[in-house]
Amino acid sequence: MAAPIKNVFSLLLRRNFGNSSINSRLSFIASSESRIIGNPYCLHNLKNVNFSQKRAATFFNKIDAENLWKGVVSVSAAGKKRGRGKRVGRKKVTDLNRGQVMGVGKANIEWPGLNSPIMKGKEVLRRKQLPPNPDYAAEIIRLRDSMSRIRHPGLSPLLRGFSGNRFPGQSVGPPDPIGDYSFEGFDTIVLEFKLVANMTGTLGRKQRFSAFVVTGNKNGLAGFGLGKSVKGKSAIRIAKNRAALQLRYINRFENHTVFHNMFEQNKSSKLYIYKKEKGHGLKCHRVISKICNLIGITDLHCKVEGSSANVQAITTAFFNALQKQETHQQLADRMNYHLVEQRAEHDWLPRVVASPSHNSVQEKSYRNEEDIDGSFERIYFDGKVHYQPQKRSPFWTKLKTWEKKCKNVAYQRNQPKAQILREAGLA
Amino acid sequence: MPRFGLNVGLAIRLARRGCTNRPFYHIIVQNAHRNPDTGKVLEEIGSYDPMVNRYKEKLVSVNFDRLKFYYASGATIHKDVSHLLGLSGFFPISPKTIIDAQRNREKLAAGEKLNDEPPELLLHETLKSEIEKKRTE
Amino acid sequence: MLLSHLTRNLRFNSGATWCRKFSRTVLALNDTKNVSKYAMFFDKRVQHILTDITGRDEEKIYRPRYRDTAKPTYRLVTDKELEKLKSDAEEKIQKTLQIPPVLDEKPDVNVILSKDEALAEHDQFNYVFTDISYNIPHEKRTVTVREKDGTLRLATNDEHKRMIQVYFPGEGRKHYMPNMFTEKHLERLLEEGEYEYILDRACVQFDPDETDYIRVTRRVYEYIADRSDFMKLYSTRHFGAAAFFLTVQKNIDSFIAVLINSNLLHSAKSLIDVYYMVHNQEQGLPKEWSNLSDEEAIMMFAKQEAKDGSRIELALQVYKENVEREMSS
Repeated sequence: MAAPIKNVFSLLLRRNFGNSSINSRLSFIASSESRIIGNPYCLHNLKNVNFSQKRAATFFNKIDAENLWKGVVSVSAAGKKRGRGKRVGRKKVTDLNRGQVMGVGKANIEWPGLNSPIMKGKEVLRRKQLPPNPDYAAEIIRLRDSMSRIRHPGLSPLLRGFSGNRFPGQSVGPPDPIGDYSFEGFDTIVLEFKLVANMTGTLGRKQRFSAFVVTGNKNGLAGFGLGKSVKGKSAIRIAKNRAALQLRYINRFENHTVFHNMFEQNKSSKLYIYKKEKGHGLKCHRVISKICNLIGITDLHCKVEGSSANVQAITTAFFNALQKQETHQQLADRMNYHLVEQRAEHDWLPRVVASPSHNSVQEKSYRNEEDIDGSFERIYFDGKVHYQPQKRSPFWTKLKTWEKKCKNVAYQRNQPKAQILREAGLA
Repeated sequence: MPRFGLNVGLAIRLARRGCTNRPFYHIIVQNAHRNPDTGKVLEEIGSYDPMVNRYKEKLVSVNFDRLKFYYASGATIHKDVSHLLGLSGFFPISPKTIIDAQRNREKLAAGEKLNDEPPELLLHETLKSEIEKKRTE
Repeated sequence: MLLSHLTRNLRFNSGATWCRKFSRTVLALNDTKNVSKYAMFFDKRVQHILTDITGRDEEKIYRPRYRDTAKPTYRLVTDKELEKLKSDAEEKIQKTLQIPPVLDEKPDVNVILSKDEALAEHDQFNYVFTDISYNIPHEKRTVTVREKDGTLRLATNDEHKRMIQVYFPGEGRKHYMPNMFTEKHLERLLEEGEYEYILDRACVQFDPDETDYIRVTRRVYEYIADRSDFMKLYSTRHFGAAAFFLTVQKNIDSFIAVLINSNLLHSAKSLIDVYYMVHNQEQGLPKEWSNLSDEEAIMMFAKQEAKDGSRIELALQVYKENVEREMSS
């Protein structure tokens, strides 16, 4: 009964619009109206119908998916020349069906036989409306997004090295085992990794990678090595294994610092090394800091003067200095005096660290305070003093506005401290 | 009564040294013609805190040695200071104190409230109770 | 931050000034008839014995303390200079090992200076007057209170102490008693075994004749006595104080047993000397006391005076067995 009426109406309209798709379109309107009115195909109920034009042929159904994706993903020939579409920001084809499962959708319905078993015991299950799952849509979008991004196997910030994703400063694991001996507890850090080249008669400019590494067990044993190879990784491997062959034991003071202040120079890299108390930390050139980590030195201050860019010279100098250290007993034996130590945590109570073991103690007192170069602090510096340029105050401290600001905030200066005390009930 | 001595021109008075809503006074010695709050001060010989502490006390401190010296050498004493010193037992009671007391008693007898009621809750006490609450939780 | 703030301010009151200050008050007490047994603390012989049994454990004295970090200093010295350094250090150590006095509570002050009814209701609150003149020892400062009803009186001990802290703040001393001295927190600290920290901080916060000081320290000493944990205080300034307090309380059996276990027989005997000095002031030491050996003297004490003599005897027996075993091997 419905068909003829619909056809009459569509004929009527086809004349006006001349559109073939109007047919199905109309059926939709008619059925939607019918829901309201109750009588499905009664013409007089369709008085106030709104008609809108719709074209079925669109951009989307003219071009197939493959070509559509190409438009999004591809890079022009000119762009490829410039290296576009290679790294971060490159788009990938996404499978939009991923994450969608048959029978699972926006409406969270349990269909026995489709997404749930038909029988439960002897009972036959029936269709069931479950509570809505608000995360469903978000989860599908998340899955799509995860496909379209390129992931980088990122290093944790602590392992990242000196700069970016480069080798210097990064750990490359223990050296390869030699015979039965595997280097357990050892670690290797790349200090320098660069391209070097030389000119040969036949090949012309011949490039190789040069790696300079230090290896150590964090307990006094350490060594450094240089390796070169056409391939970067093998250069590191060669250097690492060479370092393992040059291990040396380094004597530390109470396993945390050096025995005394010292000066060492290699080429034009000059190191002023200062012994520090427990808890001070490493305040030095990044190369020296890495070496200290591998040796097991935790408290040290070092000032590098002259060339601070020559990594190999700095490393050599630092290792030489550590090797030349004198223990307190050796010092006492050489000078023939008692060596007395005083520490803040012991309320500066004196303690004899070393006394001369062979000779008797000298009677003439040693110049401790009078001559500054004779004091224990400077005894190994040989009169050298590291350059301490005068610190300049920042330019804005000279501005009038800075002075004004200081005056304005002066009354707040004790507030944070006072607040803590107040909250603790102490003031 | 005319006074004689070294420091006849001097006055011993209170100078307000707190901030907004938080009065605090110094007992100062200065030339009588100067402004107590802004003028030059010869010596600070004490302090007076009119806001009660958590034990409900008003604190007064006086360097009595210096006070004696200045008083003996002819400095005049302002009535607020002599009120405090009278209460401390150093001076005879000031007439102002007795009149105030009399008026207060009359007010209380009539069932009225006195002017300076105690602050309802002291800041640190509230804070303390809050902290205690958090701890017990 | 708060912790560092506290530890930085944890300095010690000089023991020497205490002794001078409080021995005077005790002498005054001596005149009255009921002399307290705590007064014997200032007896020279007792002082000598207490400092003697404190002990000089090098490791304990050189234990690290909370201080701002600073790099260690080194010096090359001759024998002569070394001796000088050592004697200076000895003085320093003696100062830090000075025993804080064990005293009776300070009698409360209740002196009314005047009552003036005309002044009743002169103000809503009490006025507290403090004399801040220079060159007056703090304990002699006059602090008076004018009450609401017109009464003028001297300040109580508590008020006096508070006013001194307001106008002459002591280093490391807080205006209000730190929470760690309240019963709840004190018990927790005791369970953690922080005896020395509690006692050190009590020395800073309180005066030795103050109610709170007496409450806190005695609680600690009794707690230690219950656990026989005395050796934690060995070579610290509180060892002698704990020994003296427990002696007065006739509660030294566990103390003596612990001393015997640690091979400190002579110290145990000296402590018994103090016991007789405090409790048998008229009769003095028992007969032929000085001729007895350490072991005999302790045995005698265990039989005659001790509450729990068997415990001391057992400790002695173990000690003897150990000595015999060492001799034979």
